[in-house]
Amino acid sequence: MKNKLFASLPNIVLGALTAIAPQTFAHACGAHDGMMPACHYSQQAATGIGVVILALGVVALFAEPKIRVGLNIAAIADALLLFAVPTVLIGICKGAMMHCRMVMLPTLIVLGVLTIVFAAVAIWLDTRAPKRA
Amino acid sequence: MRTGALLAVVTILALAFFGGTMLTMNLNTGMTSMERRLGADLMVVPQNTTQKAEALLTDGSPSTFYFTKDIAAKVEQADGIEQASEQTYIASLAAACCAEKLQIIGYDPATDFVIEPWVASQFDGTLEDGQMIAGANVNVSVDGTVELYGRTWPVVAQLANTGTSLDNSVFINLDTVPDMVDASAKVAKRVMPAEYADKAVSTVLVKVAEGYDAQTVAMNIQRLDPTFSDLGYVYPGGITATTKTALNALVTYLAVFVAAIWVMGVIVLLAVFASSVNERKREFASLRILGATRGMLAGILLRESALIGLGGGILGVGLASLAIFPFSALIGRQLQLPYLQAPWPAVLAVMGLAVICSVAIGVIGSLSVLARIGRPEAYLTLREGE
Amino acid sequence: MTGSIEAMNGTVTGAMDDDTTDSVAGAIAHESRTAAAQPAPLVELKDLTRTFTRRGAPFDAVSHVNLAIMPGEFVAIVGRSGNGKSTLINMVAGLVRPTSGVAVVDGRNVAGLGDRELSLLRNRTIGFVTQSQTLLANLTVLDNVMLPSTLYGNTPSGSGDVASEQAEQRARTLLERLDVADLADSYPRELSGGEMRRVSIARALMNTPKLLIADEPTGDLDQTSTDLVMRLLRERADAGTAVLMVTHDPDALAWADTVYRMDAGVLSMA
Repeated sequence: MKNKLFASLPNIVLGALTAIAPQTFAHACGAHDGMMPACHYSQQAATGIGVVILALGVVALFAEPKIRVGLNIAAIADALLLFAVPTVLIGICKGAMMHCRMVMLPTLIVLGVLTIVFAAVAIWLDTRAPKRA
Repeated sequence: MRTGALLAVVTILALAFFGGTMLTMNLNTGMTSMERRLGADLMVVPQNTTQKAEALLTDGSPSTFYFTKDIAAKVEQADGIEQASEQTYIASLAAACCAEKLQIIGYDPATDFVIEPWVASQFDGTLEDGQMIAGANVNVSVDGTVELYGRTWPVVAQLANTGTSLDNSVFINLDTVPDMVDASAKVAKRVMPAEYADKAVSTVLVKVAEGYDAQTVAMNIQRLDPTFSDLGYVYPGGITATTKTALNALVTYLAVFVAAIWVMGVIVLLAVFASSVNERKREFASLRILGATRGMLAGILLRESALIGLGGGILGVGLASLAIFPFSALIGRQLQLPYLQAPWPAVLAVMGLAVICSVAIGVIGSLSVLARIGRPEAYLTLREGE
Repeated sequence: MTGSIEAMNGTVTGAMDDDTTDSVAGAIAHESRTAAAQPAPLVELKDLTRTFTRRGAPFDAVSHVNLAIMPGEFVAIVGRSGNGKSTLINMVAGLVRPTSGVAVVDGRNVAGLGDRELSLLRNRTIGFVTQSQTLLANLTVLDNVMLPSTLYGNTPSGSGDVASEQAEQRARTLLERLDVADLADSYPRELSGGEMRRVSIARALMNTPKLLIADEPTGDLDQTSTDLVMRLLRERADAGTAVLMVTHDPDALAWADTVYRMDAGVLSMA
């Protein structure tokens, strides 16, 4: 039970935050000259990734340990994607003092790091447990 | 449960220690950096622009102000001036998409004594007309240019971070200023009337001669012409002092805060350790029965508490790092103080220190337990209540 | 069964008797079992006293006790709780210091030993089955049983991997003997009271002690388990181990060679 919660709750919470944060407090910059800046698309992509991580967490609630390990590996892959979107794949606004660089990017990075850490712990718990039982 | 509680306390302690120290260190680094950039003793600026000029030096928003070159030339005649150099400040519109306002600083490479020494460490050529040196936060495109007022300007060097508003500045030589004004006229509201473009000067930076102080020189300048008493006089040394006061207040507050957390944390730790004796009496008693020496029990305890300290320390430093490093730009802006990331060796040293302190606090916390199991008839104590 | 009370000739007379104790009697009685003609007692208590202070007034928890236990002898002490039985055996194990008198175990005065020698004595010479549950919660049953052999780097039988393999083999054998081999990889919290007691007996026997001290070993056990445990203690005694048991279980008493009664700190023949 404890392992199950560990494999699901962090992903549910962090996934929700990843989905909500870019749309609220860690929003992207607005349109410049009628053109949507890169960070706007990063923002939308991050929300999508967040929803996926959230879904992985929900599924883990109803899955057996072996499947939960797979789900958390997927969560780690998603978190890596979350890093890649604003840095490599899509990018964000270039100005160092722009909101999306100052708030959105670090928020996403922190959420991604936390997702990876918790997923790694969950994988460790779920792979360790069967040997004892 | 007990381990979890101890770990949480140590984590909070390490977090407070590392976070507080990092903030203090970064502020001090920013301060030092700012002091080094403010090489002038006195800035003479137009009437009513003193505050704008001060803001420009610390962390304010870009602005445009100017008087004419003839005033500047006259000011430079005053007694007690060792060196004087003119600069022109123009606030740009947002450069390209997704960038923000830049401060354009025109300086005179021939007389300059403020910017050159600092630039020289990173760029050792001469700044030709039309060329730019960009501050750390300026968004320079891959081909080494900045788009400003519809023109692309070649950037010959980009400077390192200073933690001040200078990071949002581009530097051009004074001869380029009229070009810049022309360019602005074409795409937007011109930044200053055309007739001023080649004779506008925003400030005269003064380095006073030996034996004079900045106030005396300011008096000498005012004596040159009755209208000069209307000019603004900015003393960068004073700004530094004001900023330092604000910074010291913040640093003191941080130190008190961290100290308070540590005092409380140590009390909680001692309490948890003390209560853990009761919880673990049985465990220690049975180890004793099995033939463990007092030294072995002490070893077990010390190893456990050191491990908890280590784990908590690493967790705390990790969590603080997650806040401090990615969000450093935001923190700098919110503090309204020069904030500059300290060099990495110093950061690593503080990380190490935070972890060492956490381990030490864990070990110290377990000493009270050690003292109890160290007594000759500890076995009786250990079996109390059975 | 071997557990009849055939030998009622224990050694000690309590403190009411004068101190002319004839401890040789015990040895003679066991001649058939112990090969040596005049073996020295493994445990010898001389005028052992422990005074505590309760509500300001001193009282003797253990009062002038004399007792000798020969190798291979199974001694039982009965008495209500609070009458000093536990204090007595704790003094034998060196866990509590006597106020006066001496406790000699395996030729050494327990009170005169330093912490390390005393700990070594407890580890190598004495096996202690405690009254309360003293298994370490964070170790598996197997690790708990092996614990005494791992406390000091090298076991009597050697050191390194070979030794630890031997130790594991021995621990498993002991668990098997006590019918709890299938619990080897469980944690103590998953065990019943009787299972835990059997595991702690296995742990006490791990280092093949010369003296086995058992404090209420059948305290919370059912009849089957009691028989199992007592048979094992009896076997150890027959194999030459001195067994000192504190109990108030009449079923357990039947297995002992000698039974004493402890009353208000004073030891006497039952």
